[in-house]
Amino acid sequence: MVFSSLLFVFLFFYLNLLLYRMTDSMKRKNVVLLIFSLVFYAWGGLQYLFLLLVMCACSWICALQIQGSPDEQSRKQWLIVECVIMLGLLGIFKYLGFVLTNLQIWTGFPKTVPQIVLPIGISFYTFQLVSYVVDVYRREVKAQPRYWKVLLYCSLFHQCIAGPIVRYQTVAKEINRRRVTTHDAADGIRRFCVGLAKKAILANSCASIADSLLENTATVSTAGLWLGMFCYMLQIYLDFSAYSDMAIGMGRIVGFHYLENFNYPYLAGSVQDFWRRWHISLSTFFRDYVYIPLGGNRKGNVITVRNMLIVWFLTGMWHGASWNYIIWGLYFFVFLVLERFLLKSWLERLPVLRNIYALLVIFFGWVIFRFESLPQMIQVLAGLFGGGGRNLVDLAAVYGFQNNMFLLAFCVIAVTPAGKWIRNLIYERLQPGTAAVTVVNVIDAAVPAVLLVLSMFALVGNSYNPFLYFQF
Amino acid sequence: MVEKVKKTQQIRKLQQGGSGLTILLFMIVMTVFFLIGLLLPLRPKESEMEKRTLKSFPALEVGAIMDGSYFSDLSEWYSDTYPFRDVWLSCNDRIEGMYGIQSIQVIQGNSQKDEIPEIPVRNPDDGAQPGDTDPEGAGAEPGGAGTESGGAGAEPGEADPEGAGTEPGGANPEGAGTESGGADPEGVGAKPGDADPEGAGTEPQENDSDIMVAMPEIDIDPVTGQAQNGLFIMGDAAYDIYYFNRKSADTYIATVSRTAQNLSGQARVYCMLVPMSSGFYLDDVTLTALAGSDERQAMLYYYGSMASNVITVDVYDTLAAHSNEYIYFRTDHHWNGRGAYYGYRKLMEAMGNTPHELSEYAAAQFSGFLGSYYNKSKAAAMERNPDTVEAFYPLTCSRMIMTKTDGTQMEWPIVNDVSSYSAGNKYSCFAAGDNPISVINNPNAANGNVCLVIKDSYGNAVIPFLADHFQTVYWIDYRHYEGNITEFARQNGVTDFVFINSLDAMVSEKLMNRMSSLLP
Repeated sequence: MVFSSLLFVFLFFYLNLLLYRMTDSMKRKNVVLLIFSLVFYAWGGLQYLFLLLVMCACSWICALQIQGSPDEQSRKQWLIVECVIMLGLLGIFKYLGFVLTNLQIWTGFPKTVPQIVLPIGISFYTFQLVSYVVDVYRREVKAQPRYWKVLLYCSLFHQCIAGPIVRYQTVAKEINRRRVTTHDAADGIRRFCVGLAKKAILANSCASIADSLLENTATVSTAGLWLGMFCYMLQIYLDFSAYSDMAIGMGRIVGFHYLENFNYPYLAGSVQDFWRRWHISLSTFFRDYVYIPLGGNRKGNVITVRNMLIVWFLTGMWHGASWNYIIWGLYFFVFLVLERFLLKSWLERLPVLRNIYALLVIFFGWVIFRFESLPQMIQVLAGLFGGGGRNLVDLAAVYGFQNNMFLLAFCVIAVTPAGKWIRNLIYERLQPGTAAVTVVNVIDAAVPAVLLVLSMFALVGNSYNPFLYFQF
Repeated sequence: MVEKVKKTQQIRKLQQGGSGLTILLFMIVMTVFFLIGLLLPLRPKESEMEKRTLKSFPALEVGAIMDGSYFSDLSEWYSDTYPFRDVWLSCNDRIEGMYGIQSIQVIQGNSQKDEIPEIPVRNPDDGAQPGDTDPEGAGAEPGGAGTESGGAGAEPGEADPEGAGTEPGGANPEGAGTESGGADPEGVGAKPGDADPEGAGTEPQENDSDIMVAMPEIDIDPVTGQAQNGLFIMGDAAYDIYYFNRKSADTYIATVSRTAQNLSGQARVYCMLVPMSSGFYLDDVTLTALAGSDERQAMLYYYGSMASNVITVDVYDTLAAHSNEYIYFRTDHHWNGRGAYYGYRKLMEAMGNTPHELSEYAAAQFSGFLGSYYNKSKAAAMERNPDTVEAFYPLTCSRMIMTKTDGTQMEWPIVNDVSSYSAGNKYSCFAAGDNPISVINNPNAANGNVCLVIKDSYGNAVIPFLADHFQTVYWIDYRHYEGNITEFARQNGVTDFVFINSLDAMVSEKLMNRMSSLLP
């Protein structure tokens, strides 16, 4: 089930809120959450739910074994068991097909590559489970004695399939005890509705512009490519951060406080800064569980660069089993190394230029990210500079821009904290206790409801493809 | 610092004043849409706006539950058939209308454009070919191509006698002034209903779903569902962008030439290509910027490459000369009845017959037509200003027999009253829309001549005019017909074999291959 569907919002989530509210004890509330989460996950295919149950069971056992182990060695052994099982399963489901395909190309073996379907969210929940067990190993958190609570942590529908990657220690206490104030719930609702609108209205619209311009990359004009990639750049942030917004919002409504996953990444002043603001839960995962254990930057420049290379290779690979994602990760590795040893002092002195630099690096990064076929990626990269015998401008680009310029302007504003600033600015000017406060409060309270209605309109049309009617 | 924290706390406190109301309003909206979603009997099955059948409730299967496809179908069913769907859709259209200034839209097609090869000159040895001397006509001029065509003598030089003459003077009686068609003196008198003496009473209650509707499957790739041609939308009108396809062109040329060879001695074979409206209504700058192919050049290539015993009927200049009349729709890719009339005139001249004047016919107007371009673009400007279909009744007969895809036969008016049909289906007034094969037997034209038309939906509008000139007119839609058409022509004593095909459909290799296989 995806968050941005009518069924999820107006049936699943509504019933979830209703039942959650109607149950009294924390235990029962957790049972409600668990049942809904299992249904949610099963929606992607019942067979994958079994996989999730098994992986949770392994992690639950390993964590308890680590905690109960008498000596360091058996602790370590159980940790290794956990990592081998988790990463092994992730490897089989996500990367086996890719590895075998490449093997086949180079060596002719094997004859047939098995088609393995990627279970939904496996990249996310595997990392959650690994982080849980490692944290137990590091004695940063106590192992959870109850299986169903580990399962609840891992499968909680707020974040199970698309992040953020929630660390067990973030929610360990809140699983057992949490309190929701009216203000918490209202904040959660606001966050949820903002996220939904970001996805249903803005991201989907940007996607359709990008798709139409980038459909025929051989013939579209240079301006069309720039506009198409610009829309894609907006889309990917709006889309991904919207999911996190909705997850954080839904968590807040029932009393969970997940950490922020995005911090206005397009305002970054360097590539390093970008990765501190983009998909924060993934960057910190690699930092805490790969980079620092490998020695981080404390063992000299060579080891530091090696560690960075490993982290960025893995980051790229995490995004998908295809060469372009690996290239994408290594592309950022190159810029991060350059920044660390060369550009750092320059960037600090060039306030606006450094933002432009960062945006350009990110922009070309998305070109690599979008096109899984390498020849097409090269075609587009060349095309952005006029290569490939294409026109500089064509009508599709001109009208693509003209027809959507207000939307695009709005999206550009939406990737900045402008909305938050304006809201605070208005409240700052109000005198407490005046009628103006009430008026602003009422308008402010209507915003989430209005966004919800607008999103609903957009979602009905979501299944509506302007060309579909030809089935008739 | 302390000051700032205090300030932040104060703002926070003020903002929290609306918390209760936020929750209340949110839950009201959630509850309303939750309840609407439960109104199962109100869930629509079809969308009038999108002209399609909506997703049906999935059937329970173990495999589909295991791999999740059952649930994704369920989700799709839930949102696809959400009650009052069209209301929400039109709300959303209105919002999307504010995304920018949307007077002009370009929808890119997925066709690759081929270069149009140099225009070949037909071999002058094969039959008299006066057109060869005409630099522009190069094989396109129908006159002399056929050996016995009387039209050859009638047309001395440049293509278009009536075009040249009528353009400035408006010699066409109803012509120039009647853009909208409403001013047509006969049109007013001849109400659609009573103009068809038998038809009106017998079958008006027939549902439109009974007829195969002239929907533009021709320019849509059945596999990808994408437009093959690009589309240029400007206010209340849209235009196809034409991309020449060499492979399908050569398939078509070979098919037509082969047919002429196979039927030589029995039937004369005519070929009339119908251009799309863009060449007539878009200025050169726009056409160049759209980077489509030149329709005129393409037609010359087609005609010039055909065997010399194919009598080519070039309607381009005629249509250009009448482009200030209502010959094409704005919201649909077809030509209107009046455009088809000018095509018919050229065909008659090529056949050596005298065409009837437009003023001789009783006419009908069907307003409120929103065709394929509207369906693609959903342009509000089109919705505000729909098209009017103008149809002309045959003079000497009124009924036809169609054979539907399932083999059942049905009698039908040649020009049907579609005033009660939905906005998208009005083009089906001509010759009952697209059926595999249909026939008109006209006892009032007992001249022994049998005409067979191979057509796509553009041909439908020409059929009513042909009815008066032949004892029998067959027409076959090559997209739906199964069987050997050459054999059919032999067995039924066809004397005049006419291809009426739109450049629109020429783009599709699949369709051209299909036509070729029917004409071995």
